[in-house]
Parts: sequence; C-alpha cells; structure tokens
Amino acid sequence: MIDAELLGIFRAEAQELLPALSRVLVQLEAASEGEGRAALVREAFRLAHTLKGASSTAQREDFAQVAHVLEDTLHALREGRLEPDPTVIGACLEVVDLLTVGLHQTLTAAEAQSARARLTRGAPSKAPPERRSRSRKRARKDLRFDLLRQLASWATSRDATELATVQRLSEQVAAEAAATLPRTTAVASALVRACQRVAQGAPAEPLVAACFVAADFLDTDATGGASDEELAVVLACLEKVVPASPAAFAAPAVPLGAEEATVRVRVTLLDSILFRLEELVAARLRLDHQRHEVEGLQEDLRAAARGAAVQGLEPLFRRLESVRRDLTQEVHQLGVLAHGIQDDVREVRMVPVGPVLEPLRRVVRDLSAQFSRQATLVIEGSEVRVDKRLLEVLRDPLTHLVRNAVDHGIEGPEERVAAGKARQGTVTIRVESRESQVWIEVRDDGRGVSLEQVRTVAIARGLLNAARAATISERETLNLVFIPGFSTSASVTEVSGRGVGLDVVRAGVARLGGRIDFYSSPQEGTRFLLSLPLTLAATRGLMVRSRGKTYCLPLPAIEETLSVEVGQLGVAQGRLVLGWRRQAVAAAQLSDLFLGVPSAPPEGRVPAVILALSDRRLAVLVDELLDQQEVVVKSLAPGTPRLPFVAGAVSLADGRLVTMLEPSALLEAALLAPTLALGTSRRRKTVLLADDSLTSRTMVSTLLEQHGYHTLAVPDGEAALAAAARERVDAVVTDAEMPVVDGFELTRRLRGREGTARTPIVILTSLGAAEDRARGAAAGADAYLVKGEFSPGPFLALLAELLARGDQR
Amino acid sequence: MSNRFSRWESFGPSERALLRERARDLARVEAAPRNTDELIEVLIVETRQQRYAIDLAVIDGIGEVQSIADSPRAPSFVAGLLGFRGEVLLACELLGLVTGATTEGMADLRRVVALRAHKAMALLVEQVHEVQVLPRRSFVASALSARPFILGTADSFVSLLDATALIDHAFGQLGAAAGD
Repeated sequence: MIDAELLGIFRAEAQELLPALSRVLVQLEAASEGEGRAALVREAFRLAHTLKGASSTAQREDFAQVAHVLEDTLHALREGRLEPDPTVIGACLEVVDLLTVGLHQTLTAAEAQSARARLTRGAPSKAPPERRSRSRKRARKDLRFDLLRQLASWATSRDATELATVQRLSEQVAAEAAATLPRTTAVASALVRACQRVAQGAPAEPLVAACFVAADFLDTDATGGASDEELAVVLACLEKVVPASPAAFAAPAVPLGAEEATVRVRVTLLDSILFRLEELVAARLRLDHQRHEVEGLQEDLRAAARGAAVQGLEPLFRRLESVRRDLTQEVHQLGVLAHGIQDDVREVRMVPVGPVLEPLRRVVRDLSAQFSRQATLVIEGSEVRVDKRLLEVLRDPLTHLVRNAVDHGIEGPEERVAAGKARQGTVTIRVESRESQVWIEVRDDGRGVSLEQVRTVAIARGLLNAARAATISERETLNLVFIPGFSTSASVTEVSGRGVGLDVVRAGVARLGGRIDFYSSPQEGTRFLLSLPLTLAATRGLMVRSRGKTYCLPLPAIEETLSVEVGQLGVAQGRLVLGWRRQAVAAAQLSDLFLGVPSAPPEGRVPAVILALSDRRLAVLVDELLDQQEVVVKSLAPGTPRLPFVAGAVSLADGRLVTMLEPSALLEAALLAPTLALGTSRRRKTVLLADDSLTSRTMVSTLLEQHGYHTLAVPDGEAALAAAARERVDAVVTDAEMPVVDGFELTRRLRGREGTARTPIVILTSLGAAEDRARGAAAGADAYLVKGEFSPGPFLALLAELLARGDQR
Repeated sequence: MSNRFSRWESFGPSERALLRERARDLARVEAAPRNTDELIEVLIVETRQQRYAIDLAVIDGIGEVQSIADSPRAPSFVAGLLGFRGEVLLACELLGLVTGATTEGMADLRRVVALRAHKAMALLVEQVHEVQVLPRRSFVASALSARPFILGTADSFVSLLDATALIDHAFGQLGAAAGD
C-alpha cells in the first residue's frame, strides 16, 4: 500500500522540481554552446533524475517510468548525442507537462508510450547507426565493469565517496541499459535506491551482502543468461536495504539547493499561529489591565489606611508592591515574547518573488511559438521578498498581463525589423520594494496603444460620446482599458482580446489594497504599474468613527485626511462633491454609503478621508478621525460569505475587534448612488428589464432591486416598448432572443424614439459570437454582455457608469 | 401567572407567532414513536425564554462577547464579527434567525456559542444552560420544523437545532443579499 504521507512529500517535492525543470529547459533552448549550456544540461538531468528517484521511492512507478524516459533524453543531451534544438526541448517540455498532470492522477501505459514517442520522434543522434550500436555496446560494457569494480571496492572500504560513485555508476548503467537490457536496468535502479538509503543512514550490511549477488547478475545478464527468477532474487536482496527510521524516506535524494535546513509549512498554519498570537497579545493587554487594577487597589488601600494604625499593614503593602512589580515584569516579558514571535512568523511569510515569476518565462516562450513571435522575459528584482499570500493572489493577474503583452503588444519579427526594432521583443517584469509598498511593473517594447485608438474603441462601444471624448484627460482615456468589455484587439484569441481580463485584474489589485496604472506610447510599448502593500499580514490602518461605531481604513488607500467645512461641499449633476486640489471629488458620508440612502447633513466641520484607487477618488465623511496604528488584518473564517464593505477584521491594541473596510467597495457604493446629495431626495433609477426567461428576469431584477434600482420586468420586446412609452425609463437591460420583438429590434426601435434615443441599453444574452456582438453594436446598444460570463459586480459597475454618463449628457 | 409568561406583552409579533406554534405542538396528536434509541449529547441554550438544543459535537466553544465589529448593510440577524480563539467569525443572533425579528439593542445576548460544522459561525444567545443527554426520538417534527434548521421539538419545549442547516441558512441569506 502506498504510504499517503510519502505520497504527499513526493508531490510537494515534485511541485518544486517540475517548474524548475521547465525553467531550465527554456533557458537551455536559448543558451549558446559552451560551458553555460553544458551546466544547464547537467542541471536538467539532475532534476529529472531526482524526480525519477523520488517517484520510485513513493512507489509511483507510472510516474517514474515517464521520468525515466525524460532522463534518458537528457542523458543523451549530456553526452552530446542530441542537440537542444526547439524540437527536442519542446518534446521535453511536453513530457514535463505530462508529469505535472501525473502528480494527481496515475499515468497510463499509453501516456508513457506517448511520452517515449515524443522524445524519440525524429531526434537524430550524431554517430551513424552501426557505429552508434558498437560504441554503445562498448560503453555499456565499460560502465558495467566500472560498476562491478566499484561495488567490490565499496563493499571492502564502506567509504561514503565510493558509495556515491556506486550510485552514480548504477544510474548510468540503468540509463544505458534501458532500451535493451530491462533486467539490468531494474537491478541497477534497485542499486541506486539501496545506495540512497545507505547514504541516508540505513545499515550497510544488507547492501554489502546484495552487492555480490547484484554484480554476478549484471555480468550474467550482459550475455543474455539471466532469468526472471534470478532477477527476483537479486531485487529481493537489494530491497532488504531499509532505512533505520522512517525519517530517512523523508530526506530528498539530492538537496534542492538550500544552503540551510528548511521545512515546508502550510501558509494556513502560519496564519493560525499568527492569529493565536494576536489573542495572546490581547490576553497580555487584559493582564496589563489587571496590573492597573492592582495599582489602583494599592492607592485606595493607602488612602483608606491613612490616619489609621498602619504598622500591621505595612508588610501587606510591601507584599502587594512586590506582586505589582512581578506582574509588571511578567506582562512586559510576555509582550516582548509575543511581539517577537509575531515578527518572526510574519517574516516567514515573506518569500522572494523570483520563483513565482520564473514560470512566466515558459508562458512567454509558449505564446511566442503559438503566435510566431520572438519574445523573451526579463525579470528584475527577483530577490525582493513579498508576502506569499500576496504573490499567490497576484499570480493570475501577472500571467494575464504577460499574456496580453505577447499577444497584443509584441509585433512579429518582420514588423519589428521594419520599425527599426530588434527582431526579438522583450517583456520585462520589474519588482521593487519601498517602505511598506511593493511596486511591480510589467512592460513590453511592442506596438503600444495610442490615445486615439482607445477613444475610438470607447466611442464605438458606447462607453464615451464624442463630446466627452474631446474633453477627457489623457489619464482618464488610458484608464478606459479597465472598463469591462473594453478591448482594442481586432480579434479575439483564446489568450486575450475579449476585454474580460483587465477589469478583473484591477478589481483583484484593489481588493489587495493596491492600485494599477496603465501607460502606453505608440510604437514604444505598454507599461502596467502595480503598487501593493508589501505584506497582507500587517498594514497601517486609520481608525475612524461613524454613527458611534469604529472602522478601520487601510492607509495605503488613503491619499489625505482633512477637515471639511460643510459649506465646501456642493452638488454637481446630482452628486455630492468636494473641491479638493482643484478638482471636484465625489463625496459621501460613510453612514450613507452603508445605508444606501441620504441622511441629515452634518453641521459645522466634518473630518474627511480622501480614498484613492487608481484614478478614482472619494471623499468619505466621518464623525471622527481616531488614530493610526499598525494592524494585522484577519480574514473571516473559511466558508464565510463575503460581507458588504468588509475586507476583514483587525484587533486593536486594547483587544477590541474592528471591521476593516474595503475601499473599492466604498467607491463602488458611491458610484452606484450618485445622487446622494446633502438634503436632497433621491429618485431611484428605473431599469427596464426584458427577458423571456423567468429565471433570468427574477435573478437580474432581484440584484438590481437590492442595489437600489426600481425595475420594470417584461417578457418580450413588444412589452418592453409599451412599458418604455408609458413610463420614464433610465436604462434598459434586454435579452437578445425573445419572442415577438427580439432584443436587437427592441434596441433599434428605442434608439428611433426621441425619449429613449440616448437611454443606456445593455444587451444581456447567451449569444456570444462576434457577429451577434456586431449586431448589438449596430442596433445601438451601449454594451453587450454574455450570460455565461455574467458577474454581478462588473455588471452593476457598468450600469452605474452608463447611467452616470447619461446624466452628464 | 408564572414569570415565564409575564413578558408576553413585550414580545413582538414574530415571537408571539413562535409561542403560538409551540402551543399547537403541545396540543398535537401524539405521533408514532420512533424506533431509534439513539442518545445525543446536547447543550441547552436560551434566548427570550425559548430553549434550544445544539449537538455538542458541533460546538467549538462557549464564551462571553468581548467586542463585536460592525458588518454594514448585513441582514438584521447578523450582529457583526467577533474574534474566537484567533479566528474571525460571523456572529448571528439565534432569535433573529429563528423568528426573523430584529434584535438590535438587546444587550442580553452576551453569550457566544461557536459552531463548527462544515463551516464556522458564532451564535449569540442570552443564556447557556447545562449539557443534557437526550434520546433523539424525544425531538419530534413540529410546525417549527418548517424551518430547515429545526429538527424537532421535545415536550420540554426545547427545539433541536441542526447546526449545519443553521449555518447554511444564515450564509445563504447573506449570499442572496450580496447578489452572488
């Protein structure tokens, strides 16, 4: 039976080795002949060999077989019988991918055969066939003799260096004999395993005993005289070499390059330790409170004893003072210890970004091949250390940005040369940390994006009208790329072009408390700049009070705090605004954002917090600004649904728990309620909803109603036309396929009416083909969403933006 | 009249409805006895003089409410967030879940029962009583069982709660409110 723990250890190890192997293979493909390339080949072989050994130890023979095939190919590269050309490297990478899949499922014999076929397909060897055969036979014989001699030598000396040589020679014999002498391979592989166990501390005597049996068998097998029964005897002897303790199995055959002993720890376990430390700190605070109680008791007793006969009480006072001093010292010591452990645990979570970014080289390589580009990835700042959880969340957004760079940015080689650029394009990821922030730049030297392109696409998709396009700033124009559905790509590839990704990237970065900005110049390239807190574990927070309750706002999202005279607030286009740094910034009371309805205006001066996310600003009015402090943000228990406005909770120094608010949620709430004006009443926007599906109508209607809209739901386009003629409608959300009058016809007719010519219209349909989208655009729709990709947040944000633009027209 | 019913006038409509349902249960026709002799160990908790039993196996711990962080725009049964042994749990008021009544301002809800079934949640109640070992068959399906998280009511007016269903119900309400 396969030991589950052993399997787990193997998987963890393989999850490090496989990406490393992939990385080395990509580097090898690009390396020129010389010592550097030879070193890469050796490294690749070592990794494949370790994988094979580890999988055998974990009794994953299916995995080991495929790893063995890969090892053979790398061995051939090492011996110069193969060249690391794109065909060979590509085949090796395909096998690495297969092994990655094989971590979680058994690889079939067919898959192993397929791997073998991929690696041997058309890969020539240097020497002519006859000479190859003769030279191979001689090499095998020499190797076998060397192994036999070495075995005998080690059996006498028991020297560790000689044992390592036995292992190495066994590996070579196993590789060499793989194609023609499977029994020799089996014995040699078993010898390798036995040597590893002895090297890890297993008793040597069983191996000594098995040595002679193995040597005799190898000699016999070379002449074709060995039988399966003899093989079984030899293997049984070698399998008697067992580790002295189970711990020997846990040690990897080859160290993974760490200079000091390391141990893998689950991040969730670190989080648990950190949170329990927080409780410990809170307990220390309560203890400190008790200490203050003791001090108070001392004073009260002295006051009560004043004037009375105190001689007999003096020893009691001395004892009480002694208790107070001891308590003070213990509390202090506890605090030092707890904070020290907290700092250590937080430090453990910090890992270098390099290993997370390295796999992106493979992404660039594969996409370049797919789109006939030549591109390379340069990583700067790989040693910068960042919170591991942050890196895990950033992995997908960074992958998306890199894919975009290759697919959209980097031109084909001829186009680049014609533009006076190098044939090979470069995608660069640069990481830098400053104070408590980490800055990640993803840039390419491709064709870039012009402002005119962005404006044109925005107008075509109804995200901008011509008048607004003339006045919009350069920064605002560039940031249109983050709007859901925006894409300058003329075509949709499986990689990108749907315009679905950048809005998700921005939302993801915002949830981490960061921001992303986009810069581009035609013919020079594109640049995305992300700024994020260095660690999710600790950040600085600003405590604020609103309606008697305390909340925490993350400091990285705060641009400024100020005191605002109510008279400085105004109303512009139905929206409360504050004049700040020569611009009108949306403003709202924090309590109004929570409730979704305006309340009585404050009087006099009110504190305000200017929140900033990318180019968006919001002035949040509160009752009181409290203090700033370093806080540990705790997520809600796993499985707890997301709560509105809640990013997590923080423990204050006095032990209280306070809600950490999500700035992006506050900004969205302000966007969705643009007419939250002081002292004005707010008319709910009416959305006409047309869909012949009751389920869809109910779902969308419920969503809209919950977010403050009034909805008119109808089952077809004809009913929608009648409703729009009867009542004032602020926006229309329509299905495409409906009886009587479909969504396209509905859109055309609404555009033809004076009252609805400029009403925002969103087509929400299951039809996702390009021609359907074109029909929607031609009919006059402002946006086209596919139900299969529907997400409430982006949909609500899009609707609010369209409504806001409608207000501005 | 015993003190048990002296606060009738202060009960809201939903609480009165709950009491009427319990009265109907008392007058019900005796159902056929269950075959199972399974005994369950339960913790008895009380809110607004209504008692509930919770399987001890899903109780992670009991404590006092130290501080609750606000959860804006959450349904009325959500009291907020509280810390329990280093974890941040959603704190829900049992009365609010059962009756739908708003319990804002009820300072009596100071006892925390931390539930851990397939997910974790904190339940706020007024009092925590003793642990009892009761036959499962003593909890019989009743009108209250229309709520998915009440498995039955015993003659002693103690209703057995299904913690898994209770958490699912609370979280489901939150998910619907968020438009997920």
